[in-house]
Amino acid sequence: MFRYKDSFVTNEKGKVIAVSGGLDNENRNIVMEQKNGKVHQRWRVVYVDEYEEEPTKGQLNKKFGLYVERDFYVVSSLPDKRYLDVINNRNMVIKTKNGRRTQVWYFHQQSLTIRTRYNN
Amino acid sequence: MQIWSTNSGWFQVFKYQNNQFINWSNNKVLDVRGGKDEEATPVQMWGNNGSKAQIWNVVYIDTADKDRTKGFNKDFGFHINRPFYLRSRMPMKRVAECHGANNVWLKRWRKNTTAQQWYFDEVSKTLKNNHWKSHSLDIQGNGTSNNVRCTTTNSRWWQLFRYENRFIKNERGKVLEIQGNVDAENRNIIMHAPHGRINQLWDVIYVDEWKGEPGKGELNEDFGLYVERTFYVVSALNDGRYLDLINNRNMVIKTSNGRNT
Repeated sequence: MFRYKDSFVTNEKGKVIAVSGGLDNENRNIVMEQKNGKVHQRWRVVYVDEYEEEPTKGQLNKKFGLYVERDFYVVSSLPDKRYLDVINNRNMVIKTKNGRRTQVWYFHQQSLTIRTRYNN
Repeated sequence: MQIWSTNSGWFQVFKYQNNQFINWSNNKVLDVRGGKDEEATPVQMWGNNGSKAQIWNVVYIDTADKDRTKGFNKDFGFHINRPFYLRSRMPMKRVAECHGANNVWLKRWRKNTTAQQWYFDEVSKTLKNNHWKSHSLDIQGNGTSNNVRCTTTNSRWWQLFRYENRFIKNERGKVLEIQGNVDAENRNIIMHAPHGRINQLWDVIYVDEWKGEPGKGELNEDFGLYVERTFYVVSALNDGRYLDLINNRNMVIKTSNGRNT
């Protein structure tokens, strides 16, 4: 038996539901542990009829401030307005706009990461 | 900062807020290292200090301004997509030619030879060859050599040049020069530290403004003489003698004698 209160799901022995090890990874196990108040023990109960679906391609992800899978450049505000770029297949730098895909980025909803179009 | 296979660890999750990319976990922001607005300056995560090095604009490609296809690019000093000759200021006024999609040589101008024509490409920001259109002016060895050639466009720093005060300059301050200051056919073209001598000075002459070399009977304004129009050279000394040739070799002044010498 569990009770939901103040963002914790607690059992009668005082333990709470938590994400094991505090790691926010796919397929991470859920455990019971002593309450310590950290974020990996906190939950929101979202009723299905109020559930806001995740944004899909072309829609804005408000929390992340980026549109899903909509290609963009990242342009520096420094005077020469260089573009975020990738060199040597790995390192991120600023460079003059050059039309290469290493300067094209997009927000990936499933992973919640910003990806390069260089190899995607 | 680097790119890596996606794993959604906290170190891969960023939000875009108030023109900053903020790590979801530690609140550090994307930052141009040292605030250096230079080509290939690395970016890093850094504490938020609100400086311009940490302010970024997300420009969605579907709403971005289209690349210009004509007009003048002030940053690079070239007109966009307008073929030109890169003509040396040395006396023979030879031009830079892409030879066999590889080396770049100094050659006499030849009519309608597109391998001698270059144009500034706004997308790649390189100087592309008008014959080998997938090739751009390039410093060999990824910029480690001083040799200049014409190779596949990649827009790296060793392919970016701007035209400034008659110099063709790259971002590391070196300039295009004729090797050894020798104004000869097939002479190699290299990069060198600037010294301002004539073998480093170039005219960018757009093909649509190029008058061509003067033909027979026309004045060559640079040399002050008409082409292939026979003349005497008369001394200004009192007796007005003529420049002449004796012993098949030596030049002297002589009285007019009607000979072809």
